[in-house]
Amino acid sequence: MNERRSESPGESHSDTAAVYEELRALAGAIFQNQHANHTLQPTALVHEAYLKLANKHDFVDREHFLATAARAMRQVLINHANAARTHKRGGDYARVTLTGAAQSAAGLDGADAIDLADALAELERLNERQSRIVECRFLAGMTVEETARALDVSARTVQLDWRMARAWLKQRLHTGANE
Amino acid sequence: MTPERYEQIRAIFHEVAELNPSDQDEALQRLCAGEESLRFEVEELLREDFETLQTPGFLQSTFESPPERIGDFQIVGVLGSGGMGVVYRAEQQHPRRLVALKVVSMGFGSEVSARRLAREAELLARLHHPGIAQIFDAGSVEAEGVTRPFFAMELVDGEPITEFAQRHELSVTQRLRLIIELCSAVQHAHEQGVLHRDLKPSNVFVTKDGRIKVLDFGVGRLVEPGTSEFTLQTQTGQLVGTIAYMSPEQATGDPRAVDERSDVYALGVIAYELLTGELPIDVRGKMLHEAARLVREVEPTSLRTLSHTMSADIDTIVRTALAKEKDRRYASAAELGADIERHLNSKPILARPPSTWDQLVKFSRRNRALVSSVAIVFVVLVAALAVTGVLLDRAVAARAAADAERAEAQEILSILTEAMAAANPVENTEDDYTVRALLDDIAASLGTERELRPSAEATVRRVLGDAYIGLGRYEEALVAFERTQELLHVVNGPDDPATLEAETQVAAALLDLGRYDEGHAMLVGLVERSERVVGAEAPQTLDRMHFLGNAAYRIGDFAQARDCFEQVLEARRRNDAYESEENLATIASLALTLQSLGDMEASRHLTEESVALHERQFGAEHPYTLTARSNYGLVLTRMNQPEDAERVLREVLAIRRQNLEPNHPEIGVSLSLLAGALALEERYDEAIEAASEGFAILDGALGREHRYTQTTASRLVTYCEKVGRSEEAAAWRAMAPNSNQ
Repeated sequence: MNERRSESPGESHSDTAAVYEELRALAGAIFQNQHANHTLQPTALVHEAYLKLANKHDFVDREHFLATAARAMRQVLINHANAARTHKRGGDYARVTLTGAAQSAAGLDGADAIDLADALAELERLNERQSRIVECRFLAGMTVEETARALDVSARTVQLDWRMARAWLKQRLHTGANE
Repeated sequence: MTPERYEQIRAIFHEVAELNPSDQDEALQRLCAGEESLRFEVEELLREDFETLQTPGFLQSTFESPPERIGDFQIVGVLGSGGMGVVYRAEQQHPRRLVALKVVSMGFGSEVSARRLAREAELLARLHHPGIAQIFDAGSVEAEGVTRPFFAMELVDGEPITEFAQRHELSVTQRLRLIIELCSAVQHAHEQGVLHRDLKPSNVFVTKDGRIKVLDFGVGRLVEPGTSEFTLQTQTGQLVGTIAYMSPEQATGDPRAVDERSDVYALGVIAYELLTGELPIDVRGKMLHEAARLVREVEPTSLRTLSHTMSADIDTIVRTALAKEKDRRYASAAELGADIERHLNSKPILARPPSTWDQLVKFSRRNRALVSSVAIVFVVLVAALAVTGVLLDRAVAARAAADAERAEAQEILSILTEAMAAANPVENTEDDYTVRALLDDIAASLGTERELRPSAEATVRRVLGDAYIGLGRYEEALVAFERTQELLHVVNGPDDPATLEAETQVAAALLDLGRYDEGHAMLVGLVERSERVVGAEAPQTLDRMHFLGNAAYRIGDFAQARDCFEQVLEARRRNDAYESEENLATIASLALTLQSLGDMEASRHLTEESVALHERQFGAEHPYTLTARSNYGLVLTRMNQPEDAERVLREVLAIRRQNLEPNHPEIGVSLSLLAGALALEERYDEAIEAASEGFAILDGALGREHRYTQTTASRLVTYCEKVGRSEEAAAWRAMAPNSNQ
């Protein structure tokens, strides 16, 4: 991360990379239950990263940063899910869960990182914008207005898409994948 | 699903999501014309969406920054969030003070008019009690297109009652004092006509100086739409978190059934949790409908099982508050508090130990399973052989008396054979009067015309006792067994195996008569002596241990009951007696005990095993098998499978009607159980009919005071009330004074 800091700040690609590295360094705690007393949650993590990175990078604006961070967060999620899947195949399947606080805060009881990552991937295939909205609203804790500005759509569209995506994910996570 | 399909659903969703429910329906009709599966998918999403709007939480980012101000209140922090919404720490401007501001999550369709809010807030503001967090103000706020009511209430510095008690390691007495204080606060609100409806530890705080503060009083009423079954639906999300504290009538989703006694139930749950650290009904990890069913059906484990030092009074008090039927609970919070106070002052409490149907049927009778007249045949034969054996032995020992005794033995044999023939329901269609009159004659003649030796008289008395049991005449049976014991005690001494056996019979008869405490006390000593005299794994000892389990069950000590039965099963397994007749009864008993302990699956499994073993050993229509099948019907009822339960219970009833005399109590029991299954199907008229007939039989055979009779009457009260036959309900209630506290 230290090396990356010097790389052309302000450029989108390296923004993402830097944010990602920062998040990954922080994210370990989220996915390990032994750190359950750290009540870190994805959103807090993103904001923590923002505070750390904000004065080192010239982000276009806060929304831009948050949307980027949300993408990075999602990547962290996917990586952990994949790692867990490998584990599972090896027969030593430890369920990877979000920390207790993050989990209940998100209403994700019973679902784990794999389920969430899979569901998000499926949503992305079906409707990419809705998956972006979930990233912004859920993973980055952005308001409807902030999300609308970051994705350049109307607030009403964000609001309705968010409601639908949320309902779809809930249905899918609670009933399990249908295949 | 394809992206194209998703897009199709999305377009419809966008169009209808913001409509109110009736317009939504119409729009869906139009937009999904003829495409049922499309409509179904959109509706599923709308349902999830609706639920999430009611109870935010799913994918809710808790980092969302709170609004700066709401109405007259400046938000200064977040105190917490939950199913009901978010609570902020806020500062009111006029008058200037810190308050807790609760913004309640609701969705469209359940909006509260401003005027109603104001009216309710005024009502709630009138609740002035040191134990109730004062409501200052109410209003509404718009967020994300939804209007949400908020309440400003007294900011309470404290912690939930359970945490407080744990952190300060309060004694039982201190905990009880807190409950009394809580009862008094709740009573105050009730007197003002305000129910809480959502009492739970997170709403019952204890302040730093150790005083109770009840939060959210009346908020439940405020946010509840005025009508109907909507309630359950709108609160689905929070229901899961709250259902452990919810009364059975609330879990049924009938808001009209909710009254002060629903709060009394919640007070019972809080007391239970405070005293034992456990929830009376463990609903953790259960699906909503399953949790609701458990609340409605499962009896909580005795507090004494969880904490052996708990007093019987407290157990009775808490379980009275937790009665499934409102009528059996304390009528008010004040009465609950007063009974705890009585206990603390070492005065007799008013509540009586619960005597519910649950405790009944498990052992549909005495489990050695002398169930019907048919059993008499068996018993009498065995007994008669014993008589003959005893007398012949003695004849050898004392030749002088041999002839007389042999003559006596023959006389007894012929009398008993006669009785046997009369009692045999398969061959005899005469009513039970003939048999009973015969037995009564024999009993009367003993000690008058017939002068038998004490040991011979003891044997005959015992046979008579067994025969009476078979006829359901427990009072006469007890007399016969007591006389047997008395005689043997004199002849053989207290520790003789025959004396122990007679004592066992007395204890069993006491259980049959519902005198469980006496029976239990007797059996505790008996088992101990039996282990000493005939050995720990001797069949007789195991039989007695079984009876002890039975008695423990009936006094509500399910854990002891389970331990007894399991010990018996293990010993019999080791001694190759697992499939014996006695063991079948033990299996059935353990199944019912597990049921009471809430382990329905294990119970059902054992019950099925029991029925299969019975059928194999005795055939499908044997009385023992019928008891097993009857229990299976009960398990099914309690697992909420009323159709299956009804079928099983009707089969049993039909066979019993065919084989037993028409007024045999077993038929009454069958009818009462059947009524339970019918009521579960909401076929109340049929249930009333069955239970009425059952009541008449049980009343005649066992008497008005017998718990089976009482329980059947109290069922009738419930069912008549259900269908609005209130006069009849009152009449039944008058018949069953013991079933109402």
